[in-house]
Amino acid sequence: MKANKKKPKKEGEKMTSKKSEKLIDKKGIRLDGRKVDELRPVKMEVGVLPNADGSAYLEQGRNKILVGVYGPKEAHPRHIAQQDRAVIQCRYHMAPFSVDERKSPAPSRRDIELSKVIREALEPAVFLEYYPRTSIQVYIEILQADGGTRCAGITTAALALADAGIPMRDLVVACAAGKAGGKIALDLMDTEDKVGEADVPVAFMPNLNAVTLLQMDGNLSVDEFNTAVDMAIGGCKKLYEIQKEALKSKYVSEGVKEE
Amino acid sequence: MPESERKSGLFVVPGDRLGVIEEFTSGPGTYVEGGTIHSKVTGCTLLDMLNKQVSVYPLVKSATVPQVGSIVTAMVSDVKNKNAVLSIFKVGDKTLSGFFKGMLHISGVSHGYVDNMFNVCKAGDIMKAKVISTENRSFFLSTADNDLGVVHALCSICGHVLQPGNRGMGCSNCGNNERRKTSPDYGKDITREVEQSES
Amino acid sequence: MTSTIVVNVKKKRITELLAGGKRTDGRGVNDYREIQIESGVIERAEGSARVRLGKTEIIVGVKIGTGTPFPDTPDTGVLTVNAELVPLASPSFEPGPPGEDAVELARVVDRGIRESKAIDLEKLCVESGKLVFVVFVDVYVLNHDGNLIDASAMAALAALVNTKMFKYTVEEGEIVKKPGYTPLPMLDYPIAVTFAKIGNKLILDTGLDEEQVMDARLTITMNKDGNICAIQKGGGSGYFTREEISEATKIAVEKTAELRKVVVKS
Repeated sequence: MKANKKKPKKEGEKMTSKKSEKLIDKKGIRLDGRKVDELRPVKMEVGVLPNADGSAYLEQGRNKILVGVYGPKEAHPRHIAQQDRAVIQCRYHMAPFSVDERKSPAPSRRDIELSKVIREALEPAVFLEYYPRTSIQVYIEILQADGGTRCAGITTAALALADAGIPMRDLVVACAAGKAGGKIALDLMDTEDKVGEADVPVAFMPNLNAVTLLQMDGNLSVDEFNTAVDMAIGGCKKLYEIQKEALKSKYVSEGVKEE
Repeated sequence: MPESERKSGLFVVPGDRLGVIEEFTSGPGTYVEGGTIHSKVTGCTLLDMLNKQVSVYPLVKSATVPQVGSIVTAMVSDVKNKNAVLSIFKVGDKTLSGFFKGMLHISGVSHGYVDNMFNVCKAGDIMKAKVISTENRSFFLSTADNDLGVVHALCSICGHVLQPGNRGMGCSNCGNNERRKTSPDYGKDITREVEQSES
Repeated sequence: MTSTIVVNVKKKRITELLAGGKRTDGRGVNDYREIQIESGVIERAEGSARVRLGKTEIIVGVKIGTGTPFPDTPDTGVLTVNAELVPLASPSFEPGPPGEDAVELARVVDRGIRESKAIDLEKLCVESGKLVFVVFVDVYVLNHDGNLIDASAMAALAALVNTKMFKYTVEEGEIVKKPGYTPLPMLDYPIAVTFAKIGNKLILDTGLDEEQVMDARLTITMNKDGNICAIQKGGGSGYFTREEISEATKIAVEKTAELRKVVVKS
């Protein structure tokens, strides 16, 4: 069966015509009712997968993300093993039904790049040197995507790593800021990301004040870029508090039971 | 953490600041970065005011890999004259989600002299062993201590479970006799062990 | 871990229990684990459902696309079922393209839907021979604790029942969306039940431990009239006797009717 080029027109397509100024109204309110520096509603849960060594689930707006961590286990294939530290094998993968147009489940070039940058965002946080010759597998499944999934994936993966009991220097938390409708705005959703002028995802270790992922695409002045990074870090700090609560609600009640 | 809030039993996550090295030494579950002591696990703070040490008692089950001294449970995957290769699936009480490959050399089998590895274990047996070295890309094991050795074995002729008897290990089904270096735990709770390993 | 010795140890215990009509978790031989069904969990998909069968967890998303029909069926829409055993679901699942287990799972679910004519594919033709709707059913296994086939088939059915198609008109051979939705045209509600044979006993809804020691399995998919629309024997080196097959079909008639009430009601 060949894919037909005549695709049905979607409601969303009208907006792709350059009307990005409408993304934010005169009062500074965005399409979904948020202010420019406001995060989408966020929900996090730790320890959701019985089979995995560590796991976490996150909803951020319409994003729905599930992460499972396995390991440390013997590295396979053997040649990927490092003599002095563990390696992280990270897979960012989107469910075929996670986006409007069905996505083929085979990994795209985008998926492969994101798997790499997410891995590199997590690596600085993990005491890899404790587990030489092993591999820690981080599987990120995007069940539903609505912009900012790489950041949400990192935030969720850090929770799953902590849930697996892997020693870490800090939690990693990620958030994007960008420019939409001519204004710098926090935590862009899909429409804002596609129509807007720029997107700056940032991953951050709050206690160590360390940026572990930074990307940008679009067009920003240096001042705008700095504002966006600061805004993203501000978003990270808010998300970090929710991360801590998620771990607390899983482990504090269990801890009391043990005593 | 502000000074006024420093006490034992506080919930912390990886990265939380616990104090500075001028006040405390860094205990288990913590690390030092730029003069500040941080937690590296999710858990509760433990303040030892006598020794001025801060540590974190983990509330998460800890990530486990075999270490020197660990007692491991493993399945024998290959046996040669002087060597056996084992797949470690359990470290202490914790079941791994994967395997680690371990090596048992004939010199580590027993305190006495052993001539041939085939009289110690056979492929498919489950053994308890101690990790004696983690150098050279492998976990080297020993079963010399009395409580270590084979805990479950099948007859190499008919596949029935072997029972310890007067002349080594006997098979109740076909009458075959075989030799093993058994642990006193042989046959005990093996079902439970195996089931935990699968969970 | 699928090592023979571990399986042997377990098999002994499971078989001994079964001889007395008991199972490791206390269920009867024909009892299913607790079934939880949640529909519409993925808002971006046209239809979706999450099924929890004990600790087994499946999400199915239904997407509607367009394409050209197959030349031999120019007037019918296209059904595509795909299954992903995502690696976070079990330490035994590996990343990569679907292996034979995933392909078998997808095809058994596919046959149930296709052969029972659950979806009225003829209503999904836009322009004969040129343009039809394609129904993508994606089965996503999130936690593997046995009996993926029955759970996936239930989730697929619940997702199809949940599916909303946008209304449209055709202008110059192109589909133009109109406001509003209609349900996917459904004609039947197939349910799969999978029997596992352990020793000489047949049991339903295997847990992972039972699945590892089973000799063989038999999946029977039935439509709403209690007729058989798909069968798959698999799952090991064992076999079924003629009598066992008759017994299984007899139980399947009752069991599928019972499960259908649970799934379609949700």
